[in-house]
Amino acid sequence: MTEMRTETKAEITADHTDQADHDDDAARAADRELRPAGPIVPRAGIESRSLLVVISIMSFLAAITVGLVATVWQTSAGWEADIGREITVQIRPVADVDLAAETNRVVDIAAGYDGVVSVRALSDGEISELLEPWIGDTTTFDTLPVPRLVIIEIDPDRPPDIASLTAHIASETAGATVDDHAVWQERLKVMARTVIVCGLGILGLVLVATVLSITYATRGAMAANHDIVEVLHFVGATRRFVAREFGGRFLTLGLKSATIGVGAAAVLFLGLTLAARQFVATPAGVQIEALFGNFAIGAMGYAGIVLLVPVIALLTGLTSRREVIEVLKRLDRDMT
Amino acid sequence: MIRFENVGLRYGMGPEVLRDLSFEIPNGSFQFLTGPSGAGKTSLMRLLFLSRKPTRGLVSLFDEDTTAIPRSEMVSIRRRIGVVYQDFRLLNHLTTFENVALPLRVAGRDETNYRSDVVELLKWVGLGDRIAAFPPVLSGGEKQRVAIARAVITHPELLLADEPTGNVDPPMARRLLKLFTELHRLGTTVLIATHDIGLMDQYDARRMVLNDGRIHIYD
Repeated sequence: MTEMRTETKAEITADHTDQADHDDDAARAADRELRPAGPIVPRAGIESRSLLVVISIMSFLAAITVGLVATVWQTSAGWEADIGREITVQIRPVADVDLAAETNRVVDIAAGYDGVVSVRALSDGEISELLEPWIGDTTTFDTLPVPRLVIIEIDPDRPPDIASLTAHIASETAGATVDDHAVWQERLKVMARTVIVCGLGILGLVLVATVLSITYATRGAMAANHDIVEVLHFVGATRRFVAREFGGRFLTLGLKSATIGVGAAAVLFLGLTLAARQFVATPAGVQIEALFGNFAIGAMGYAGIVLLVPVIALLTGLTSRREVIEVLKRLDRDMT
Repeated sequence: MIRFENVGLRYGMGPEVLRDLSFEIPNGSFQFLTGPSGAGKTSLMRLLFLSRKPTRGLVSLFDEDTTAIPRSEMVSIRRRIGVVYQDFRLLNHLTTFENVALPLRVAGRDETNYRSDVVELLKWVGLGDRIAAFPPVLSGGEKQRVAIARAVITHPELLLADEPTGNVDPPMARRLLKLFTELHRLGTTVLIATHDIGLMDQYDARRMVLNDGRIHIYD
C-alpha cells in the first residue's frame, strides 16, 4: 500500500507538472475575468412576469383606495370647515313684534362679539330666491309670515362663545333661534368616517390579497428553485442565509412592482386633477367639484400612496422570507 | 468517526433496503463502498450526509447520534462534511469559481479571503482555464471536477463521494482517484461509493461491500 501511495504521488506530480504552466497562465487570465460574485438566487427564477403584474395591480388598487380615502377626507374636512365658518339665526314672525327691528337687534348683538368676522341679514330678494323652489316666485312678504335670516361669519380659529351668544339673542329678541350647524357637522363627520373606514377596510383586503399572492408565488418559486435550496442546504447554509437570499430577491421584485402600480395610480390622479381643472367653470365641473372637491388628492394623499411602495416591498420581502423558512423547515423534517 | 449499530432503513412502508448494518469508519481512513446496483449504496450515503434518518438502529457521526443532533447544530455538522453527488448538483447560473466557492460564501467568508484558495484548487484539478465558465458549457469530466473541488474547498473532515467517476472515462477516473488519495493524505476521512471494480483495483484500500441490504467488510 505504501508503494502504491508513492507511485500515485509521483504520477500526480508528473501529471500536474504537465499542466501547471498552462494552468498558471490560464488561471491568471481567468482571475482577471472573474465577475463580481453572482447572485445565489437567479433573478430569472423569481421575477416571473405574472407575479410582477399581479403585485403591480395590487399596488395600483391599494394606491387608488388610499387616494380616494384621502379625497373623501379632504372634501369632508372642507365641507365641515365651510359649515363651521357660519352661524345662522332665524327670526320667526311673532304677533305684534316688528320683524325688521328684531332682525336689526340680532345683527347688533352678534356684531358685538369677539370672533365674529361679519354679520348680515339676508335681503328680501335673497330670501325669495331660497323659497322659490318650494313656493315659486310669487312670494309676497306682506301676505306670508316669512322668517328672516341673519348670517354670522365667524373666525374658525378664534370662534365666539356660541352658548353665550345664543342665550343673549334668546333673551333680547322674540322668535329668534340660533343654528350653529352642529347637527350637520356631526352627520358629515359620521358619513366621512364611514367612507374612510370602508376605504381602509378595502385597503386591508387588497394588502391581504397581495400577501396571499406573494405566498403562493414564493411557493412556486421555491419549487422551481428546489435544486438551489437543496444544494445550499447541503453545503451548510443556514435557514437565515437562504431566507435572506430569496427574501432579497422578492424585496427587489416588490419594490419594482409597487413602484409601477403606485406610479400608475399617481399619474391617474394627476391626470384627473388636470382634467377637472379644464372643466372648472362649466356646470359639469361645478357638479363634480360639489361632490368630490377639486379632485386633487393633495400632498397627504400623494404621501400616502408613495408610502405604499416601501410598505408593499417590505410586505413582499417579509412574506417570502417567512415562506422560505417554512419550506426549509419542511425540508429538514423530510430529511432528518 | 462513524459508527453504525444494527442500522435498518426502509422507505415508507416498503421493504428494508438496509438491514442490520454494523460497522465503524475510523478517523482518517480511506474506503470504497461497493456492491451491485440497487444494493443500497446511495441509501447508505444518504444516512451519512444526513439526508435520511435510520428506521432503526444507531448512526453515530463525529461521536454524535444523528437522530439526536439538535436542528441548530445540523448546519455546523454539515459544514464538516464534503459531498460529491453522482449528478454533480452544480448551480447552472453560477460560474465554476462561484460554484466551488459556494460553501465558503454561505459560511460568511469574504471573497477576498478565499479567492486565491479557490483559484489554486481549480488549477489543481485542471480547471484553471475554465474558472469563469458556467456548468452548461462544461464537459461531464469538468463538472465532476468542479463538484469535487466544491466538496473539498472547506477541507472537510469527512468526504463522501457517490459514484464520483460514474460519468467520466477511465483516464479521468484515475486522475480523480488521485485527488481523493491526496486528500486522504492530508487527513480527510474518505468514503467513495462506486461499482467500478477497476477503480478500486487502482488503490489499496478498505472495501465495504453492500449486497442485498447487508454489508461485508474487507480490510
